[in-house]
Amino acid sequence: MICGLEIHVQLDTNSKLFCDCPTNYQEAAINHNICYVCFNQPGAKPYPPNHEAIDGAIKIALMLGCKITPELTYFQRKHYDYPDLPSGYQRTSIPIGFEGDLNGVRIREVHLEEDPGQYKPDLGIVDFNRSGIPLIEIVTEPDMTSPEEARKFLKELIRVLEYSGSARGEGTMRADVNISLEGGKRAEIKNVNSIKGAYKALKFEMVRQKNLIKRGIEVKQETRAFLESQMITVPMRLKEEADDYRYIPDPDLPPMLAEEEHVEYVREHMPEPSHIKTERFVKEYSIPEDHARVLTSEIDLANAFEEVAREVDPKFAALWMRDEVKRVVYYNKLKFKESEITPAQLVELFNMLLNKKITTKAGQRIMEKLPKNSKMPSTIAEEMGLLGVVEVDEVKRAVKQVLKENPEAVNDYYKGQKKALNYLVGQVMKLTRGKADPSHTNQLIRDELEVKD
Amino acid sequence: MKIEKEAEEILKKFSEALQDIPELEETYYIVDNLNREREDLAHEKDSTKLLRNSRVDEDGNVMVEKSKWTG
Repeated sequence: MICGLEIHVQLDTNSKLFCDCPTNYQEAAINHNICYVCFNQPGAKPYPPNHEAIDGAIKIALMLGCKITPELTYFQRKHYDYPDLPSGYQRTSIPIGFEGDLNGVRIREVHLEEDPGQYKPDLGIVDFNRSGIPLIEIVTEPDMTSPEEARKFLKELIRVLEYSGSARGEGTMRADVNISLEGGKRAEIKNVNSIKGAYKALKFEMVRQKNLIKRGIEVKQETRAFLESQMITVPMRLKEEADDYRYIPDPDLPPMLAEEEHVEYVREHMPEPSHIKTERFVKEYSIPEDHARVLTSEIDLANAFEEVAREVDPKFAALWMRDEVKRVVYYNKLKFKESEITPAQLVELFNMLLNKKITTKAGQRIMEKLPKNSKMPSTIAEEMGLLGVVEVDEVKRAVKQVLKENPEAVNDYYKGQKKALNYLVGQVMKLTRGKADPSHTNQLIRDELEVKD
Repeated sequence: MKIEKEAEEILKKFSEALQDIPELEETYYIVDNLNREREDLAHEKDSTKLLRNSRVDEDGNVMVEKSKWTG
């Protein structure tokens, strides 16, 4: 199987691409953010293109390793007849960037276009609030050979787009998925709105085409729609070729030229893309790739890690940030940025752990208190009585006391109930106010019980 | 049909006429403007007038035909 993708994601601008309507289409009342331009009333001319959208497209193209065309670029009219498009044509630029690469998948081109309205085909209704919002379209070469590869690529692409700060996230993603199997013809699947959807659509289409080929039925070149509710694809219309779209340059819009000086300015100011950052973290901090990938999952988390790694052993920091910071942030349904956890808080917490001022368990409990809390870990530890690590003798004494006070749990352990051991460890932790090391305590209890046995 | 025949005739003559036109360089733009862009500023809109002639449902959606492929 070979698969190529065309991914559309909205750019994060205040106003639309060719008019000054707001872009907050999800908050606005239906058909509120519309004007004569984006509703395409007779005689309405587009405004000049939105500067933020043009710069966003250049930035994303550069982050995907694309060359920026030194030639004139311009917007074309791509004609098609569909209820979401009042003008009958969509304005779409010729490629702004080309010949990029993202983890081995070649990027054929990056261009800019306007979003159509939101058409609900089953109900026959349209909301044009979205019509005219700038979209970036990223077209890959057919370099993916399985649904899993396509999923991996899309995840990485969304990370790059999030890093750019110029694009809205996966929520606004729409992908067209091109797939062909040996012996068949190319089918394009539209209506794919998520990474999971792209994966499911490819899986379904692969099986469908394989079955047709096996039964000697010709696979038609066609456009199919993905029905997310049923996870299937259905025929939509015969696939247009470029000729059917009757592309013409839009005479209402003047051409653009990405001047070298400006491109260099954007390049200097753009964030380091996530996939490049991951590679650098592995080399620079000698941490495993899976740690680096988690740390670079959010730009703010990656930046915080770099600050922390200047003060604390990077490997230790990477482990704690991958496991504990992510756990706590995820549990609170927050992004790292939203958690308001600062590098200074993390540095202090990690130093407390490294200097054995607190136990691992205490560290985890302090971490749980950090989201949206400006207190430093030492203050939290003091308030919760978590400072200090209990000496081995004291733990041993606690173990003996717990075993004496819990004969039923001891009996259950001897009967083979493993849960009883966890209960006993919990009791020791309670007695030592969480300052004993759980795995060491576990071992001490087992040693003690085996002696008795 | 008469109209269809006439249309074909017109197209045929038109194609013949076009054959004599020499190759021209593309000249799309009547003005020599380059990199005309605008600031990213949004303004509130009032769509009441625009929607006056549209068939709109109670939620404000413009009503159009249902697609055939959704079954």
